[in-house]
Amino acid sequence: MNPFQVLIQTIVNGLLLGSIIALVAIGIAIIRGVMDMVNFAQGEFLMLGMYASYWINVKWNLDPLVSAPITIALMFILGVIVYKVLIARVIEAPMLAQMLLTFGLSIVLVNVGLFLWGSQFKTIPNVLVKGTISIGGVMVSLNALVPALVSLLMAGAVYWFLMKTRMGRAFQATSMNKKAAALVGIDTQTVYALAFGLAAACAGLAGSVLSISYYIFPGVGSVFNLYAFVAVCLGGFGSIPGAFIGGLMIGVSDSLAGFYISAAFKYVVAFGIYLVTVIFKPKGLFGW
Amino acid sequence: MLELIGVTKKFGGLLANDNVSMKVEKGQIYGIIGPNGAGKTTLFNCITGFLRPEAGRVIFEGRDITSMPANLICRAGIARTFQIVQVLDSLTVQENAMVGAFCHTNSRMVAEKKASEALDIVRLTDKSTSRAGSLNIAQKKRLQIARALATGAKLVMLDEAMAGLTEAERVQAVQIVKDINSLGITIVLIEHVMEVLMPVSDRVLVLNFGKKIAEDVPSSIVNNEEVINAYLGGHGNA
Amino acid sequence: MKKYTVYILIAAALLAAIVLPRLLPKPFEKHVLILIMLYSILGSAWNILGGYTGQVSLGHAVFFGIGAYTSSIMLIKWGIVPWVGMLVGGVIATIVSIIIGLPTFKLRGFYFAIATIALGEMTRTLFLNWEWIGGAVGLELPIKRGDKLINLQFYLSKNNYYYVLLGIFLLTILAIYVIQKSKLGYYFRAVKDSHEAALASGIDTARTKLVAMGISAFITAIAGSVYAQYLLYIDPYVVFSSAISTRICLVAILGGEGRLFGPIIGSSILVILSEYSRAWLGGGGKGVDLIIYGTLIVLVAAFQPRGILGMVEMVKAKRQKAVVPNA
Repeated sequence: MNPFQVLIQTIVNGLLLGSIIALVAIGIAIIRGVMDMVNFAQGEFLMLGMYASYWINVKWNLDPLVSAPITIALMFILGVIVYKVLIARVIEAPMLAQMLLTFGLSIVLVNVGLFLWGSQFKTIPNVLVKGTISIGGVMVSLNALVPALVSLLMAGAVYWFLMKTRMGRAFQATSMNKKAAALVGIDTQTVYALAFGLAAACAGLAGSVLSISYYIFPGVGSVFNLYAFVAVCLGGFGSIPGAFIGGLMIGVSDSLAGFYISAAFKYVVAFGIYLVTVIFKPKGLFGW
Repeated sequence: MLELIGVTKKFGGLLANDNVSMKVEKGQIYGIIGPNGAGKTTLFNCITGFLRPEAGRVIFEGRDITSMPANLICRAGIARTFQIVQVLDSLTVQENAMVGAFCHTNSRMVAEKKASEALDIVRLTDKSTSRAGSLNIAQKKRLQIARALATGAKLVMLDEAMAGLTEAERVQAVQIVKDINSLGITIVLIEHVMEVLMPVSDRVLVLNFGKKIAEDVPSSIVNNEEVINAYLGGHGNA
Repeated sequence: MKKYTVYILIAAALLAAIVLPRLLPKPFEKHVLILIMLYSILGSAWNILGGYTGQVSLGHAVFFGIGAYTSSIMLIKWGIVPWVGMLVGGVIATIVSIIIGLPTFKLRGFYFAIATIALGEMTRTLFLNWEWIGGAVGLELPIKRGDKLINLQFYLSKNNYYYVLLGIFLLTILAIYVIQKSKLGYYFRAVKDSHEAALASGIDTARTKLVAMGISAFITAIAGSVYAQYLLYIDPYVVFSSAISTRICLVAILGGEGRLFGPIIGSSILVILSEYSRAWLGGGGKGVDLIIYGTLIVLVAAFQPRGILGMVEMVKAKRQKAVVPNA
């Protein structure tokens, strides 16, 4: 490969990783946008999505891509339960209490994973899509391309839901003005619960598609969580397209820095981009 | 005392303040009226350093204060209140006023004394140990005024100090404004309730769509045709 | 009368704090006490920025690590006593905090918090790859026998580490108390409550935040130096870990953010809980201790968002209400 092809290859790899980050980031953006809080446990939903795919594969021999709807449904239900039992209590509380709660939740989930499934890395054998295809000299592994396409599809679906459906408009109304939304008959508690469920489902799907190409272990969420946060801030908190583009940017920066500088410095580069961006645009690239 | 020369502020394509000039004399109560969205608060923000005007100058006591940082403008002697009330919720009423008083002193004792005086003027002395967050809206508005007074300002700018108050509260607020003025402090008031503003003001500026359409004594303003058309005619004088 | 009660309480608490390590002979108990004191200092330092001034930092390990590394490097490379290294570390941390603060204080709320996480991760990576200061291998501090205070190393009695930390804690509390009562303390709280109102009161909000961050970083670095002397081994994973950043923040919030004695309460609960559950249940890497630790955090946040001291205050307020129905 010539240097130009190498560059393209690296960028493509980054975009594929970035699409997974983007999906987690979208979840964070939904929660932030609709209920004005930050969920530090979003990466752990991804981890749970990965384990759900893994165990479904072990028990019923279903490929994670086939079982993705089940994973989405499971994670959605879990998200709603987490909202109803815990988050609802701090929705009106100061930001610190919300942070504290989701931090604690993240610690609990990681260690419940550790307790139940151990710390060893797991992988899913015999996945449905494998091999690589060559597009104009760029080699793309199918087990990275398909997840990227699924992520894109989900991101599109979420965007469509928020923009075009009645319920989606209720989400938007709530995010703009909670009191006014309540006045026109929107049940904000239901909106919050559904939003949290949707966010968990996004991360769950990300985990589901990630599980065919990545190691599954209890701490996997933390890396994606941090990257997703940076992506959301980069795009501007609360903006869905912003979060998606931010995710892709972080993926590409991770890939480029890992290849051209050193794997050790890829975080430095990603975070550096974030810092430079917010210093000049304190509300992110597409923030309001 | 305060002079604006051609102050212009744009938000994207919207001209929020279009070439506004005005002149406030020492000891006056100067009113600014206009319908919602006329650019009154934007003008306040331009004067007090919360926004930077694109063009024009703000002169205070012969000194050009255009685009100076808000905290330095306060130190220069202009204090303000906010339409969307900004009090320090977790501090007590007394402490809120003290924060203002620290503007020109490092001494806690001096700040306490100045704060008490300011609270006296706005009639909040009996609430001085309550948390500011527990006050009702009328009291919070008075507390903002106390904080502004405590800074030792020569010019106090009140953004909608009477809006949303009951009749009794409004009467009290008007009296407070007069009391402050009688101490020799110049006052600039924003209101959209005409009946409140007209009787207390020495001079009135009328804004509409960011433009100055009149500046005169109240008795002339109410007879000004342009004002009646733009403001009273179209929107009523609710 | 009431003032007397306060003085007596303070004297009693002080006496208890001094006698306590003598009543607890086991090394593990001493270790727990030392950690409680360490995190009380760290939580108090965090409180200056996060609790009083409202800038939530999730990257305080940066300053902690700078403190630990500065005194250790100065000791290893040039043989300078840790007390001097400690002060130099404090000054360097303050300078770094200003460099960090200048661009990031424009960021509000979450954006600032995420920026501090990012800075924490970046700093750790830089230290991991900086060979001159030991890189990922870390640093072993030279051992100086003889338990001299000047060397800040104690073999015969670990209690001395505790007393050193107690001293620093008392100085920290005193400093915060003085600040609280001064103009600066009012300015901190004003900036936290309303940025606009602060500006309109003539407060240079950016400068006020920088001062808070600088003081906070200085104290955090001091604690980092003592920690390095206590462990006698440091590496970037230990002193720059995000777990330390998180725990510093948790200690302050758990006790009740922005309260003088919040951190020591938060620290006592958190350290005792996490160290004992680790000792009892932590074996085998099953994470049971951390499940309990995390659950506690979740419960406090969900049921008492204002921290333990917030809860105490609420109970008091209820009692008062019960006595005076009109209040």
